[in-house]
Amino acid sequence: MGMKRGDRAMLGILMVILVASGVVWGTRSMTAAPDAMTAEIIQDGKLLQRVSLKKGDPAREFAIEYKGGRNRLKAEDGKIAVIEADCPDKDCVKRGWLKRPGDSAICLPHRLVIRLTGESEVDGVTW
Amino acid sequence: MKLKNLIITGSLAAFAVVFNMFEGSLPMPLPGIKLGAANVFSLLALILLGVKEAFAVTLIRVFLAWIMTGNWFALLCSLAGGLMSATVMSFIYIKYRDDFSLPWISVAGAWAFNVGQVSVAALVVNDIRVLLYIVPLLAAGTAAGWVVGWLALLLCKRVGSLTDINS
Amino acid sequence: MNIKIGTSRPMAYLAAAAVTVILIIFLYAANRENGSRSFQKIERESYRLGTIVRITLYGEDSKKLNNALDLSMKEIERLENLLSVNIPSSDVSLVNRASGEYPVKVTEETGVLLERALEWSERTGGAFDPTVGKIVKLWGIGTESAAIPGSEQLKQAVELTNFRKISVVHKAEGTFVQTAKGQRLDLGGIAKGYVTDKVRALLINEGIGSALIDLGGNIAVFGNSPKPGNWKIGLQHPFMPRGEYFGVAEVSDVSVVTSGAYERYFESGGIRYHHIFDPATGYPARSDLASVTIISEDSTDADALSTALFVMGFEKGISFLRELKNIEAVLVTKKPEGTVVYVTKGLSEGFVLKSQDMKREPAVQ
Repeated sequence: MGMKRGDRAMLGILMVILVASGVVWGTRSMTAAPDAMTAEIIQDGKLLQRVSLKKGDPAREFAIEYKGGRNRLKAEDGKIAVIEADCPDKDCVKRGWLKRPGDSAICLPHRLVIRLTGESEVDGVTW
Repeated sequence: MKLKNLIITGSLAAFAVVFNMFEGSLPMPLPGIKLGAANVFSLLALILLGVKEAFAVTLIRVFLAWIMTGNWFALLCSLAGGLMSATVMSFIYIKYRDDFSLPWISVAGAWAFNVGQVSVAALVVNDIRVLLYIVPLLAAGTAAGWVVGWLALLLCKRVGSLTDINS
Repeated sequence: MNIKIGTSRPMAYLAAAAVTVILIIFLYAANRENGSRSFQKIERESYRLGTIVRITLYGEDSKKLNNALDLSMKEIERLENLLSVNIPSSDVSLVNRASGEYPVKVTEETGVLLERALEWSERTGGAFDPTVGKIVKLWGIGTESAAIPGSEQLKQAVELTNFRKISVVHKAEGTFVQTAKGQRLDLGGIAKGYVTDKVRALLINEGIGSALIDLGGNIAVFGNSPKPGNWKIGLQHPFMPRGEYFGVAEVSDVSVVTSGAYERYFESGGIRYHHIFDPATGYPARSDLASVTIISEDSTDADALSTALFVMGFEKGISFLRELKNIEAVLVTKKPEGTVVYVTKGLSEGFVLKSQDMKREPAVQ
C-alpha cells in the first residue's frame, strides 16, 4: 500500500514528536530523580497524614504524639525516617530510612506505622 | 434509501458497542491504550453513508458504553475523544481525501481521540502533567489507528462495492 | 461519491451480523450479573493482640469487603477478650486467678485451643508449653519493667512450667480448665495463629475470594494473589530492621509464621535477652537458630511449631520436622562460617533467597 503525501506528512510529524519526547525524557531521567512517593503515617489504624517525598526535597521534621509518647520524623530527599522516639525498644528508629515503595517502620508502643505507598515486591512480611 | 441508511447506521453502532465491550474486557497494557476497534464502524459509517452517520455511530457507541458501565470518567474521555476523532476524520475525508489513505485518516482520528481523551483526563484530575501521557498514547494510537483503518478498508470492500477508495 | 449499497447480499450479511450482535449483548449482560464491577483492594489496619493487625481483601463488591473487614475486626476483638493474658476478664486470666483452686468454666473455643496447645506440648516434648506464663511474667520483656529475674524465683517459675498439670474437661455443663497452684497460662505462642485461622474461616464464610491476613507478622493468605503468580511473602531478616526480608516464599492458601529472637528483647550488661523462653531453663532459648519460619495450611500449628522449633534448635528441630506431614519450614542458623538458610524440600522451589550475606544449603528432607 503506497503512502500518500498526507500520510508521509503525518508519519513525519509523529517521528518528530517521538524523537523530541524521547530526548526530553532521556535527559530528564538522567538528571532528575525517579517519581515522587508518598509516606502514610498511620496511628491506631487511622491515617494521620500523607507526606509526599521527592528527590531533592529539603529536610522537614515533624513530631507525632501518642498519649504522652512522641516520635520525631524526618523527611528529606525522597526518603523518611523516625529519628527519635521515647519508646523503650526504638525499633522504628533502628529501621532507618524508608526509601522503597512498601517499606515500613513500626512503633508498636505508640501504635504507629509509617509506610511508603506503591507496589512492593512482596505482599507481606512475616516476622 | 433513508430507511436503509438508518438500518445500516444502527447495525454499525451495534457492532461498535459490542467491540467496545469486548475490548473493555481485555486487559490494557497501560490505562487508556486500546485498539479502538469500535472506530472501524465510525469510519465505515463515514465512508459508506456520510458525516452525520459517522457522528451518530460514535455518539451511540459512547453513550451505550456509558449506560452499560456507568463510568462517568470514561464517558467524558470517550465523548471528547470520539467527537474530536469524528470531526478530524470527517474533515480530512471530505476535504483532503486524495492526499490521505484510509489507514492514515484513521490514524489522524486516533490522534484526535487521544488528544481529546487526555485533555479531559487532565481537566478532571486537575493536573496538567497528565498531558504528558499523550506521547505513549500517540505512539500506541498510531499503530492502533492504522490497524483500524486497514480493517475498515477491508470491510468497505466487502460490505459496500466502492469505486473511489483505492490505496 | 458513488457507493452502491443496494445489492441484497451485504444487507443479508448485516442482518445476520445484527442478530449475532444482539446475542452477544445478551451473553455479555448475563455475564455481568456475576459482577464485573471493578476488582479492588480494601485494607484495614488496627492495633489488636498487642500488635499491628492488617487485613487486606480483594474482590469486586466493596460493601461486602468492608462488611467482612468489620466482622473480622470484631472477631479478633472477641477472641482477644477470651485469650489474652493481659485482659483481666479473659478466660485465660480467669483460669490463672483460680490456679490450684477450682476448675474454671471457659468457652468451648478456649478449651479446644488449649487442648491443641497441650497436644503440641506433648509432641514437642515440652519445647512448646502454654504454662510458660510465670517465666514470661518474671522477665517482663516488652514491658517497662523488663529485668533479669533472681535465680530462686526463676527456679520456682521453671517448676511451675509443666503442661502436664493442666486439665481440660468437657462436661455437659461446658468446658472446664484447671491449672496447678501458681501456674500461669499464656497462649502467646499459639493464640495469634488461632485467631488467624478463625479470621480466615470467617472471611471464606463471608464469600471473600482472596485475602491476606497479617496479625503482627503471622500471615495467612488464601485465594488468588492480586499479582500474577503466587502470593509473595517476605521473611524477616533476623539481623536487619523490621521490614527487611532475607528471602521470599511464594505460596498460596497457607499460613506463614516466623519466630525469631529479634522480635522482642531487652539488653542488660551488653547481653541481649529475647522473648522466646526455653521452658526447661527459664532463660531465653539459647538457640543456634536465628529464625524459624513455618509454612502450613493451619496457622495455629504454624504458630506453635515456629516457637517450638526455635526452642529446640537446629538438630532437634530438623529431625522433628521429618516426623511432620504437610509442614514446610525455613530455618536460619547462626554458624561460625556465617548465616546459613535451610529450606525443606516441599518449599525448595517456592523459596527465593534475596540476602547476599546468607548461604543456602541444599533442601532438607
